[in-house]
Amino acid sequence: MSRARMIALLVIKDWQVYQKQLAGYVAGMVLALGLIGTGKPWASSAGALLLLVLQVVVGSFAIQSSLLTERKQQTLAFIMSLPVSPMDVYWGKLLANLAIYMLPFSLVTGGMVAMIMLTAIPDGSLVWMLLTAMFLFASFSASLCFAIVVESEGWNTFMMLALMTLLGPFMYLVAQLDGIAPFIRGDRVVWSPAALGVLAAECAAIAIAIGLTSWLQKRKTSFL
Amino acid sequence: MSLAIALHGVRKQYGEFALHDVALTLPLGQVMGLVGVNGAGKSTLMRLLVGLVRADSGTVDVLGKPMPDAQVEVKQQIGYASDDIRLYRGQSLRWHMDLIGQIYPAWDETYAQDLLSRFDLRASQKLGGFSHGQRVKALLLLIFARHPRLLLLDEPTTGLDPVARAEVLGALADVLRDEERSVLFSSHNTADIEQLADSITFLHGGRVVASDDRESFLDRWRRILCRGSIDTWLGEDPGIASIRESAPFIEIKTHAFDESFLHGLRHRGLEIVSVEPMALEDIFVTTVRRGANP
Repeated sequence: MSRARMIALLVIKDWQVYQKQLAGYVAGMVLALGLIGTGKPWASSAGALLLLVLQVVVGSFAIQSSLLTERKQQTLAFIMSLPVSPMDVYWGKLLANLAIYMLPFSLVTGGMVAMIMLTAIPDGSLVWMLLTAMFLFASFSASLCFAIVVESEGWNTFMMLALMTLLGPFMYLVAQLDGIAPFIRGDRVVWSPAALGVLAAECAAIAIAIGLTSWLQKRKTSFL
Repeated sequence: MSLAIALHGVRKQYGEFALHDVALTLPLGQVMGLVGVNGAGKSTLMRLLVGLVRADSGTVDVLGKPMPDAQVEVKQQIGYASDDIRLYRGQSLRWHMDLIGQIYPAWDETYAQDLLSRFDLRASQKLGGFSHGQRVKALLLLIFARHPRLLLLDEPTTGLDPVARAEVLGALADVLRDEERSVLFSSHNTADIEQLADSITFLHGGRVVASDDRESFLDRWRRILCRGSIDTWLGEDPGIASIRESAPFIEIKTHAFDESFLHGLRHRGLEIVSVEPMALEDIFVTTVRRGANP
């Protein structure tokens, strides 16, 4: 069996193990999008909050269950006894977690894009919303990589909380940037150099987190 | 001679614990029992062989390939069961069988069905509802049904009730009929090892303190009851592993038993009352207490 097929099998395995819980989160997100879509102020704000909370919780769930609980419940030893290398398991975990996160993330982001473009919400807010979504994804990637390296429940919780604390300031500061603020309430979607710069920084943060984790993983001498 | 396992000068430091210069070989087709107390290094040794841990120094070859570098290729032919391994509680045994079947081309569904019935397991049941004994049997089923060339079993019978233990040992005995298959298994239960192993290795404090074939072990060791007085020469005899005075007798345990040994005792004025073979457990305990290589 090729390495790529083995890694794919590990990803599918994780997907099968956690798909029921994931379905519950997705159902909650569909409900939240439905609330936002009603157009009523109280329902929209409740839906938006629910959406944000569920997106954060699903990230925490993915890391907690497929990484840390697997180690705690000693199922990792079973996986490591199969014809896989530690790097295969690492890539399998990384990709499975990204896939588990990407499903609700795509649903939420896609739903928000549709709502901005199809309703009275100013189209100009799309850039700000996508940068915020990308911040959430970058935070998840950093938390995931951190959890893979430190393998500690406590440190992982600390890391996630720290990153989530930055979400509010990030949303506020990005909305104040010269290349973004003037367009938020407008009808045009403008990807200014400032907006593209923020996006590039987010992508770089994801790449650095994954690159650094892969390097550290290769240097490990004990894999349980 | 082809070797299933070959370790040379292996060292591994784990905090306060260390494996020291472990040298060990297991020829193909042989069954080796590994005996040691908790913390002796049995599990670390097994993990080195599976490639889960990299040795600080020395070489680890399994089925002729260096570990952990060749672990993907080697693990296709290894079955590793340990007390540390758990299956997914939320998934059924069938799900695990399908997973293993996709990975190992040698997966034998007919044999798996036979083992299901023999171990009295239900494939549709989730692992979360299994007892400890059922979980152990499920793991062994997943291993045996892929016909590995080398079995590494770390305490496979620990915590099993007598019925489950007999079932597992029976299945293991069947597996061992294949003369091409090599097995290294560790256990606290020396009776299991005495029953199944061709050779025996004692591990203590991270060191191999004795390693030999079973017959030699059992032939060389004797418990001898004598009458007489303990003289200084007794303590200096390298063939004597322990001496205990229990008036009016002196109990001598030796790892160098033969007729000349008895002759030597008589020659020094001791009267031989009885000579008894020793159980493996007694040999192990005496070896560990002596703390030296016999």
